[in-house]
Amino acid sequence: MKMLACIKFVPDSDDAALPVKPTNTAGAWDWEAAAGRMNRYDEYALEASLQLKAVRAASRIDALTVGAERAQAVLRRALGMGADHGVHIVRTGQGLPSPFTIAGLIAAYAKARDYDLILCGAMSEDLMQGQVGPIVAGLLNRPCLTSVHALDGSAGRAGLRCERDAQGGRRETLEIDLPAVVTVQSGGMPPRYPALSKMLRANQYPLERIAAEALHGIEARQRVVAVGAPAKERRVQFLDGSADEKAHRLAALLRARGRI
Amino acid sequence: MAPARIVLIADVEEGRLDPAVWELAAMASAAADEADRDVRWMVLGHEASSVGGQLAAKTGCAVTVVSLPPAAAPTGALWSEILRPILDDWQPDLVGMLHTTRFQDCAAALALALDAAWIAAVQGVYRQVPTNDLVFQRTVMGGRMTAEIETGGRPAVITVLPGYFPYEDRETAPAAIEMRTVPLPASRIRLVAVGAADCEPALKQAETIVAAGRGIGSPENLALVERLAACFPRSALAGSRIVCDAGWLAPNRQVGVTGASVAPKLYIACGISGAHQHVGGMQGAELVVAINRDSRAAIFNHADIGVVADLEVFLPLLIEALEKEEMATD
Ligand SMILES: Cc1cc2nc3c(=O)[nH]c(=O)nc-3n(C[C@H](O)[C@H](O)[C@H](O)COP(=O)(O)OP(=O)(O)OC[C@H]3O[C@@H](n4cnc5c(N)ncnc54)[C@H](O)[C@@H]3O)c2cc1C
Repeated sequence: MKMLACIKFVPDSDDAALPVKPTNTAGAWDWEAAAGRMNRYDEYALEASLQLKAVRAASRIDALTVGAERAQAVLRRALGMGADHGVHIVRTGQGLPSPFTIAGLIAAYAKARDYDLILCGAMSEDLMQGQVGPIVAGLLNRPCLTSVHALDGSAGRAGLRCERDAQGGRRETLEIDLPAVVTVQSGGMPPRYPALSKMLRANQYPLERIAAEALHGIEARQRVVAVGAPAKERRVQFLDGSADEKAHRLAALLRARGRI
Repeated sequence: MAPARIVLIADVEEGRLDPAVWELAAMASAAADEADRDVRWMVLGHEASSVGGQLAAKTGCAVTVVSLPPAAAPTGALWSEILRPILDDWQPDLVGMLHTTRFQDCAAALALALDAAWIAAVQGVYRQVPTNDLVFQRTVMGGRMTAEIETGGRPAVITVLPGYFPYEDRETAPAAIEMRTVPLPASRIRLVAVGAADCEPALKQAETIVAAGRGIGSPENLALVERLAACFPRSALAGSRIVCDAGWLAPNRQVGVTGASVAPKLYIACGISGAHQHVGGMQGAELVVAINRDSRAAIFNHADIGVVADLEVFLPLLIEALEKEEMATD
């Protein structure tokens, strides 16, 4: 089974240097100053492909990322986790890209390469859209299942059996014909941690590099024109003082409200 | 039948509509052009005609019903096959549906067929002055920022996040209902089984829920959260998806859109960032306390009382203060 795992380099949400307001007066935003890492949902997608490879003979996993130079760190990690090959579509655009742009590049790369299965994370942790996988599926005319957390490839060559949590906590079991696109949610398959020896080897492995401009992508269709602060759903009262003072204030407030 | 400028898509599962579907009508009111408030529902599924009647009566918008045989299990792939030719014929400016897994499966295919944009997890929409172009709003960065998105005059398919477009019932004249039959297309995806939701009963009964997020750091620290919960009568322990997926808490204690929806009197969020998938399950709580070391965390936008602190330091102090208070009044 030939698989393509799509992996994004995202800002580390715990990094205090991550800006959470526009970084210039025109309302644009970039996160060059903050640290990045592999999107967690993509770790799950890669893990799913590795587990399929273990049960399907003659499997191969290409890991692909679209991003700036430093995004190649996620390909190194993917190789360290067990991907067979790394593809870096080098794209240096500013601002928040359209999912059609990214999906268009991935589809252009995948088009003539006959992947049986393309896997993406259920969403990226930064943009939280979950659109690239379904758009790739649409561009390649493949069926698509979003947010699956278990994939069973042992049923036979024709398809996969997948599980997912639907709205309200209900659990769906679905079958999808190959070739297909799935997006993978956290849960079922905890991603493996790459061994140091494997990471060292991965760092030596030559990556396939392609400039985004060299691929026939598609139009962006939509554009982020501004970023800003979200509305407050409730009016929060922050408690101040030392940790101990805050603890006593909170205890007193909860008592006043009759909660204890 | 005249094609509508705005088409809202609803589907029927086990004879019922998604309870959030009415919010699409509220979204359409915000998005409709003053000069041309032309909105039509498209409802599909087994025995869709009775819910089609509900949509027409309550919203006053015309309804097209595509009723399917019982064997046609609801999947995004099937919806995509059925909807594409109809929407291609209508050429609407805006197609609205809920941001559920099933509609996420098919939204891209519909957008590509209509040469439209697709905007996901939409939380707000307005018309820009003076261009009259639609602007869509959604959150990014774990809910810490919003992004405004435009399509430059291109039609848009949007998947709408439940909980952001409050719908109010109003008196309207019931609108016309059109029935359609379609040949059942072959589908490359089949629904094999649907399991019932498994929610810990204590979560539904609890007056106080103490919820643990990834910020608790390790499963060992769960003991602290448990001790905190024990300070409150009729309390229960819950977790974010990350905590439940990691096996620190049982899956049936997950709160959020793919877990339990809870509405206790008091909800204490410990080390939870406030992603909309989590907030969607606890918005109904009466009083929300958030404890997080990052003052910029989105959970503070959904909290009444905020404490910026490190949990490992703060929770033992809070437990001590609560236990002391108890002794003082005993
Ligand atoms: C399709 C789909 C469905 C989903 N459904 C759900 C759902 O039903 N429920 C759900 O919860 N999630 C759901 N999610 C996941 C959701 O998007 C978030 O990833 C998740 O809610 C984050 O969990 P968290 O807040 O525990 O962790 P994080 O987002 O990682 O946040 C951890 C927080 O802890 C704080 N912190 C860290 N250390 C400390 C410390 N020492 N002291 C104090 N604070 C600290 C950090 O500042 C941060 O704000 C879903 C995602 C997808 C794609």
